Amino acid sequence: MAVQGIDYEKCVDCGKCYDICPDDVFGMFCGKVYVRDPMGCQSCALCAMVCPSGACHINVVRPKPLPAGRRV
Amino acid sequence: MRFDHVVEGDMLVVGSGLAGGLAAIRGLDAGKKVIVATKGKLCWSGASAVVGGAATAIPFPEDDKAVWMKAIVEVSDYTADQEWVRDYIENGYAQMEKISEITRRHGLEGFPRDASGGYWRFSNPKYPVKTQLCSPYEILEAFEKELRQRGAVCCERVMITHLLTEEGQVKGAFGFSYRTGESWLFCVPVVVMAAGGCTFKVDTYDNCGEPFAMAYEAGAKMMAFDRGGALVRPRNAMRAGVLDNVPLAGLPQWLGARFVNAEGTELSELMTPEELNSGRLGVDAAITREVAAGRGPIYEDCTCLSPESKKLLFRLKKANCRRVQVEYGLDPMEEKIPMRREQTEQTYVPDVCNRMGGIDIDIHGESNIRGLFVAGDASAPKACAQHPFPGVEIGWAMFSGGRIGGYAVQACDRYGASDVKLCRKLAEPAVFELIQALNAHGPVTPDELKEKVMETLIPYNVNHCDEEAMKACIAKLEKVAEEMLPELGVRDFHELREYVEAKSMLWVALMIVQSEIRRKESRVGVHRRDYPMMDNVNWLKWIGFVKKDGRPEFFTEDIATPYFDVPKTITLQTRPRV
Ligand SMILES: Cc1cc2nc3c(=O)[nH]c(=O)nc-3n(C[C@H](O)[C@H](O)[C@H](O)COP(=O)(O)OP(=O)(O)OC[C@H]3O[C@@H](n4cnc5c(N)ncnc54)[C@H](O)[C@@H]3O)c2cc1C
Ligand code: SF4
Ligand code: SF4
Repeated sequence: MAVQGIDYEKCVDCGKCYDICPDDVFGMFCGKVYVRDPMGCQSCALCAMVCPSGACHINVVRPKPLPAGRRV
Repeated sequence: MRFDHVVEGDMLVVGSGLAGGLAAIRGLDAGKKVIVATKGKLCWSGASAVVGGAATAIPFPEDDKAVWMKAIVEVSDYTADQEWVRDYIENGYAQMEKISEITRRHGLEGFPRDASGGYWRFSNPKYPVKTQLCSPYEILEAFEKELRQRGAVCCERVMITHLLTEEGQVKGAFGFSYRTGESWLFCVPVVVMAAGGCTFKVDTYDNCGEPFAMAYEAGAKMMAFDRGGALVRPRNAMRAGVLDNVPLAGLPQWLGARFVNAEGTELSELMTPEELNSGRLGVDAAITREVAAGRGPIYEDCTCLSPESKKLLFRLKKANCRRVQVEYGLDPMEEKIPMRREQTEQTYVPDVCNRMGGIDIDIHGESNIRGLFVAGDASAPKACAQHPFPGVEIGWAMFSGGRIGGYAVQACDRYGASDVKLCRKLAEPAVFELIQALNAHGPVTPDELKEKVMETLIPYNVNHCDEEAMKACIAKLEKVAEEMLPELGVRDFHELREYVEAKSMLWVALMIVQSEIRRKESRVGVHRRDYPMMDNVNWLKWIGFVKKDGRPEFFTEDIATPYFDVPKTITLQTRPRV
């Protein structure tokens, strides 16, 4: 999965990641963000850019299998 | 039928990237009631929001116009629309200045300047033109502020699914909010479609071709879908560019950053001649090889940059730099960044890019549907966008947004207001279509359909192809449609968004191959094994289609050459495809 998750020790509940994510990867519950759809993440790092506390962790290595197992 | 929101206005801009953002500002400048409906957060979605620092090829007034014309026309394999290219060369700079002014108003800088105060421009290694740097993050931030402060009606997280037309004239548009399920009915005489292109990537992406599908359904002429260029990217590479796991995607390299091993030896000294000749893929191959052989890690080293370059790089690649700080706990400008390698062999992710067709427009940006204007990636590339010329895509998005936004403003007065009652009626079939999707409870998720479409299109499109392969691909895509569409399940409004995206991707994939199969020669990124020649005698044509009796009817159109003579030759097409 491309978005790894939220570090709740650091998160200050500002909601900026939820606000910016183009793929709506995050959800909100009781003022706290959670990862709603990890596979929807496109690794654009916009959430990391706006997160004030370094709590948004993203993995950039493409997680999905190659179509038809191709190796070009 | 009850709609949660009914919004009336002069002009609806669909999409808020570089094209839509500027088009909307042009509407505000003219005192129009502008509505912006956008799938993501205002100005922070689509291709524009993930570019970071970018090359932008906008001709400057002092440049030689003939050189630009030749470069753009040649690199498009002569398929660029020369009228639009001329307009771009003459008027692109004015739109750039306009954007500079907007960003300055908000204390930002859309186009970085060097120490002497001039725009930061680089010579292009392949073409005799210059490329300048641009900072989409800053431009989008300024656009967002501008649109909010100046009272545009901003409808965020709203996916437009249908254009409402009557007798070839725009009346409005319909969509829904995928967070809340609320329905949105827009009643406007003019729509600026700036909702980007369609990309088939292994990781998801929010440009899925809905602008094409909805415009086609409404009767718009589509053009140049045969330009389905393909790319591969290293699997390790972050999609948006630099500074972590990825061979430098231009910018740091231009500025002087290097790859080194622990001893400080430059990677270029360790690379084979073949790797040296393979651009960023070669760099990635060398890094992977060194790491696999136990000689890693290889570091990306920006510490050697000048203080100005470091500042600039951090600004333009803010998202990636921030990510490196978070994941590695280091300062990417002051410490070397170790390149992670999780595979011991280099693997690639095929990546069919959005260098394909779009909605056809005239020289005022209007489609054959009156009131439907199209800008940026959503427009047909014959208008000079989306060909492999570094920087023209962003240049076109900004230029066309500003220029076509201006024409759209004039059309608001020409066409008068739209009628709410009529729009309600026109939206009914759209509502039923989405209700039907929401009633689908099959086992297949829309995401699985997207995957299947890519799995079917990409292998064919990455390889050199021939008629047989194309026919097989079409048959497979048709089978995917037949087997998977009835099995889809849509559980909530997020999945409804994905459903609309997946369906339009499937349709775009089919239109790409069905267009390509009609071009009996090799051109614009499509190299055919069975027709390897670029044939300027018989094939200086665009391929288009339009909906007729429920099916696409294909046609060709001759390309006019008023400003640059195209050699009437038939030559072996050698441009590499990948
Ligand atoms: C990683 C990357 C790097 C690039 N680098 C360069 C470069 O260096 N130089 C260059 O010239 N070009 C580059 N490009 C291409 C360039 O970014 C695009 O051509 C340009 O940004 C397109 O702008 P646009 O405004 O037309 O569309 P986009 O920026 O894609 O905007 C589309 C907008 O429409 C919205 N939208 C989409 N569908 C809907 C819908 N159904 N309803 C409502 N809204 C919708 C989206 O949310 C978004 O706001 C790059 C592209 C990528 C992905
Ligand atoms: S990296 Fe981009 S797509 Fe992924 S969660 Fe962050 S903002 Fe969303
Ligand atoms: S942006 Fe960062 S701090 Fe704010 S809610 Fe998201 S993870 Fe938490």
